[in-house]
Amino acid sequence: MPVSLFDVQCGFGGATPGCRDMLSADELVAEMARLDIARALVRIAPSVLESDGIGANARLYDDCTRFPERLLPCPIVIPNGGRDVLPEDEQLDEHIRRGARAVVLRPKTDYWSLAPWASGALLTALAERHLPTLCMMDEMSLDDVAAVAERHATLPLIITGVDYRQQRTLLPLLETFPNTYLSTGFNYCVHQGIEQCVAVVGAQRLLFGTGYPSSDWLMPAITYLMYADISTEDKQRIGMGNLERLLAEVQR
Amino acid sequence: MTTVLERGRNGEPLTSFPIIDMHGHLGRYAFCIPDLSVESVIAAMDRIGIDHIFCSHIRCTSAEMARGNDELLEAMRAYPERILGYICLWPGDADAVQREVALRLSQGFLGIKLHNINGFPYTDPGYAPAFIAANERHLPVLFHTWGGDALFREISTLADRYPNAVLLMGHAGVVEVDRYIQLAQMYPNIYLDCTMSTTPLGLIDTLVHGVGADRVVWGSDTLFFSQTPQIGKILGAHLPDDEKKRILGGNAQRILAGIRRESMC
Repeated sequence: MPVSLFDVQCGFGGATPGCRDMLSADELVAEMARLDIARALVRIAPSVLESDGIGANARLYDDCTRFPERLLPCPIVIPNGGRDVLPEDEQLDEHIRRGARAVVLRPKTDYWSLAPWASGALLTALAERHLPTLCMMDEMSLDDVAAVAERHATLPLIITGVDYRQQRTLLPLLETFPNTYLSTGFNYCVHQGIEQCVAVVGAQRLLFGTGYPSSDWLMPAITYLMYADISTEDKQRIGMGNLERLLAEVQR
Repeated sequence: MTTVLERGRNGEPLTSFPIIDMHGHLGRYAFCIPDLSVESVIAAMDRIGIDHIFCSHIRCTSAEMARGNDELLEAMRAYPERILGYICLWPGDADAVQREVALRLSQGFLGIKLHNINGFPYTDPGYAPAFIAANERHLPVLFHTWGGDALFREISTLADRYPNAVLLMGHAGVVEVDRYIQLAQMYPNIYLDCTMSTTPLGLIDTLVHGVGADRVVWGSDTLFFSQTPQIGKILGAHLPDDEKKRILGGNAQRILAGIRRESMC
């Protein structure tokens, strides 16, 4: 039985210090076709040099509109504490209007705090809309994710970039907060990791991700899932079904 | 005909050609590895279609060389067709190293694994008996490497000094890929092992373009990592199937065939 794939941890168009080339949306789509990845939730990535979140979103939408069947935009959202971006509700409504069904937080890169008095309005607005929210481990810690998950129980938090050494903290986090989800993409590659997560919290809490192009991890992510010692039905849930369900639950 | 890429995409066992994992470990480490059992490694090998795995014990990062080698020997005896042994060593005493190497070779170990997390350079005199044995018997010696001037100097020195030893540079290209390639171009007894998690885009293609598919070997670094994503790195490379098969097993088979086992007892 085929396993369709919807990549939750993917991107294009970002520069890396010291690297001359950037992966274009066209190149990403070509690689997805070669490896039979049906769709991807995409950001501008790598994002280490992407200091203009608003500009990055504009580029993201431009490219995603060229591949509407393949690429689903996952824009950056920023709290309006400095009165320099759109107010939170307007910001989210605008992203949903442009086709986004998930967003990403970058508190470190965009210089804001996860404390309720600084970003509570943004997180509350996200939770009201049930907008799946990417929490990248180079921007937030697992402790940060837990704090947000506890305060906003209706907000689906997708943890990406988990290190293979973090299982001792990751697993109890997933157990404690049912609104947290794990991307199986880079850098989550621990031996028997998918199997243990499925056994403890269930396959419905895992989402197929790659981490491409921050690491050359498209096919490794595929084989990590496809050779996992879990049922085909669970692979299908992780491969695509779970993310589709979360996206369908967004309140527009 | 189905390509190896298609078989991997579908999660089918890759049984039509030999696959040898040249970089494995057994044993407990500081972070949580959900299943430390040898059986879980064998089960993953069966799902993927891996014939053999060269393992060292994770104690190769410490002074407990005898304990690590003893525990690995148990696994080798439990799965004699599947688990091949790298001897792990602590260079504190060259005489002890010599005795340990002789003992383990007599027990069927087929190579040596060294890690420089112990603070010793690979050219430390304590390791000399191991390299002499490796040179005499054409053994593979797997090094943990992560670039750096000192590291490249040490491997260069050893490649010169022990031309019959097969030197495997672990994690090749994780940084300074050009220097790895240059070194392998200079010394025919250097092979590049491509296990790693953080993988620069196109690394496998770059390594093969630089040194040829005959000088790149596949390893997983299990139990630190799962074998399941690491195999995808080769399957997904932009290379013809025959080159992927050489990297996944053909080159390792050649290294194994070159080992002089008759002089081991």
